Amino acid sequence: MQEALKATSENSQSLMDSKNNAPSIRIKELDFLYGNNQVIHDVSLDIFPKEVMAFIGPSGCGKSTLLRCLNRMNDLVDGARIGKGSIEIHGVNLHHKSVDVIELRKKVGMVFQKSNPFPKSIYQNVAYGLQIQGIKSKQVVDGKVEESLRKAALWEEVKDRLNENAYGLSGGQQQRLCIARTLAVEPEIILMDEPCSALDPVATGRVEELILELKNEYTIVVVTHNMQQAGRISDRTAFFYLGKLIECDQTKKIFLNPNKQQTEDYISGKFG
Amino acid sequence: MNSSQRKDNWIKIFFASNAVTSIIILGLITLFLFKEGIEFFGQYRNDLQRYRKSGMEYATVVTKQHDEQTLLYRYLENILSKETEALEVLKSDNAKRTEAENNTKSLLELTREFQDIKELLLVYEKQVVKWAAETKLFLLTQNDLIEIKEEAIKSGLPEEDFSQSLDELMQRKYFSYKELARWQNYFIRNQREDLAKRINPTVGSESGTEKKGEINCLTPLIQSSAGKDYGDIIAKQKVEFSSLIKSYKPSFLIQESLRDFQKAQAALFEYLDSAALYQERLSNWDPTTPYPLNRAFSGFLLGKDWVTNSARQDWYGILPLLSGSLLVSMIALALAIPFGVGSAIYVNQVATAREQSLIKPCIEFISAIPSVLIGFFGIAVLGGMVSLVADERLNSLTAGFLLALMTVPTIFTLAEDSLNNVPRSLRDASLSLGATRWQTCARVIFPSAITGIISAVLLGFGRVIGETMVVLLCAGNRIAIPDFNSGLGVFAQPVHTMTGIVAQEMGEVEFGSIHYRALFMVGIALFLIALLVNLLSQNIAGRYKANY
Ligand SMILES: Nc1ncnc2c1ncn2[C@@H]1O[C@H](COP(=O)(O)OP(=O)(O)OP(=O)(O)O)[C@@H](O)[C@H]1O
Ligand SMILES: [Mg+2]
Repeated sequence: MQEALKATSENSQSLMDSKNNAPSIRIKELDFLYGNNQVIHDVSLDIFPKEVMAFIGPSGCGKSTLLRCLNRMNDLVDGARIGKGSIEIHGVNLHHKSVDVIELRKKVGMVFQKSNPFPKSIYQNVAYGLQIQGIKSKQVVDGKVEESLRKAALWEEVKDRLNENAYGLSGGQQQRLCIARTLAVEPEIILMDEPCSALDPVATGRVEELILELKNEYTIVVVTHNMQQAGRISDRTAFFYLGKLIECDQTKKIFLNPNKQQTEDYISGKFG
Repeated sequence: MNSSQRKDNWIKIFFASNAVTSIIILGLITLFLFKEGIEFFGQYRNDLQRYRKSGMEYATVVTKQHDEQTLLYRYLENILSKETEALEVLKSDNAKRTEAENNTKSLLELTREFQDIKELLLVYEKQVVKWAAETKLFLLTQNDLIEIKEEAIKSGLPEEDFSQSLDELMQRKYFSYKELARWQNYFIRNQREDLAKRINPTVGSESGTEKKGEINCLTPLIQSSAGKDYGDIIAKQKVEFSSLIKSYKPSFLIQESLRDFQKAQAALFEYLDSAALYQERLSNWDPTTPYPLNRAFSGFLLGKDWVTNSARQDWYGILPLLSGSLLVSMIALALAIPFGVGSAIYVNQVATAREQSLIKPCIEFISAIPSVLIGFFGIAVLGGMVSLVADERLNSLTAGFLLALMTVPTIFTLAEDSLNNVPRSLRDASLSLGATRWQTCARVIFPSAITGIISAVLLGFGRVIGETMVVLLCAGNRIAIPDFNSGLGVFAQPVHTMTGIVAQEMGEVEFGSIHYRALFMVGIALFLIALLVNLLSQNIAGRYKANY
């Protein structure tokens, strides 16, 4: 199993290397624990620039945990820690003492499962990330707000009501607002944890389109329970089971011709 | 209807009746308070009317005028004492000594003569006060007798000794003690002790033994004397004061005295100019003009004095109590808000689980301490500490500190709740955008919780303004509007509070008296403030819930 796993990741790596690309994120033999409860077991995985990586797997297999490791949101959880291994972004170990978490999070943005706009105006929501960086110039902020909302395909819908409370938006609009809010701080990598699970099909479609659009500029890691969605939006897919990375490969390959029986069983809906 | 439905109904009735009972009780309390309190204004108006009719109003103006003269006298006395001191320091062989001694002597003479002139008014004032006091007694007696007579008519007592008609009673200009004693006996004979008790043939006598003579209505006397005697005295004083001060050749040992003397001189001339105003007021005084009811309202709401059991006139102005209560509350809140909200933020945002489980129960335990113990602590410990910076041990600062201590748990608990109610996801969103913990707290969590925190503060205010024991024990209980001009010194002044006064005086007032009703009015004011604060905080809290 161990060997097979290595083989898979080497496989994909050589594939990417052929594109002459160094990985954005490199996860090396990572163990992660909540207290004494180990939830990630020896995961190694590379994520390359400007690709969409989907994490799939049954509930509780550690997808969110791994995702939250990538911008150290797990720091907030008492007793959460790395057992062994490391995560590197452009070769820098995230958990090294010298790493500034604040800077890291600006670089690695996050969109959550349930849309969570601040109880402020639409404008204030997008401008928030800039304001906490101390950017005062209204011109700069205005420009950035518009740019981000445009990128999030929300501008046309909200340009006349920027000063209204964000809670007045529909669920799908709120989620796109959250994406715009993340884009405003100019991240390089965007982490999305089931971004569409609370949305109806139409809104989901719009967010998916958006992800495909954003792919040109950003590296995106998305957790999803929706196989079709993974198929529609991702370049590669990683399948997790019980905290272990079972298989990671081109999405097409995973869906049509997986190497592992477990993967096939999961995708075909035999369990999960 | 089957049995389970019936059971349902009974349960419904049980809970509904609980709710209804509490609403009814609240209504009854409100009604009772207002019923007892509202009569205050009529009674107070009548009392003030008596104050005017008896001439006490007149006497008070004269007293004021005399007080002003006394103040002038004090200036001179002050200079005199400074000069005498300076003189004593001078060596006996000093050449200037004799001259200085003579100067001081003539200053002493000036002071004495000034006092003599002042005395003219003092004698007059004493006379008028005496007349007015007797008149007031007469009016009260007359009022009582009329009420007793009405009661006697209503209950059909035989006329016999107390045959005076209501009209006759109203026309009377005096009551002799002898007839009062006779009427008292009459009611005792007729087994109406309650009425007999209200006739007191010994009032006004010092020894309490039965008195000879009569109680007179002396208003005409005051009026006639006001026309002539008063005018004569003031004119005489004016001549004597100015010739006295003009004939004096000022020469002093210390330089300061000359300046002081010139000030005193200026003050005297100013007074002499203003004396005409007193005269005008007094000549316009008319004991028969009715006292308007709105003056009773404004006298209560805007009155600057709360004076009870006074020989002359009781005043029931709520301002000193209200301002005392507000001052103490403001001090308490100024201390409790930062502590309460600060520790709520710490516990909610920073503290580890262990710290939380230590801090929370500790703070919450404070509210379990009986307030009388906190008062104890205030008198014994805090008072000593406060007296290091203030003149008195017990003042608004002492009470404010203790009330702050008592409100911190209220504010802390409610503020912590509302911080806790801010969804975790907002915190995560902020952090994931690269905000620090403090930025997240200040820009997202605190603003989202602000309405809850405001209503926590308001409820804290309600708690503070209604607290009784601690202010009674530790606020110093001096009935006076704090002097807000004295800067920080205002915090060091002893005050009395609305709750304190009710608790202190309710026990000893006569049932149904003006004083009794005035205390009820204070209670109503408290009730209204509490109601307002509660409505406000509910309103705000309601808006807050609508947010997420
Ligand atoms: N804050 C936490 N403290 C302790 N244990 C946690 C915490 N968060 C998650 N876990 C545990 O870690 C394991 C992995 O959880 P995680 O949320 O990563 O799963 P997931 O794959 O995202 O599941 P889902 O698809 O249901 O979102 C679970 O067993 C969960 O109970
Ligand atoms: Mg998850």
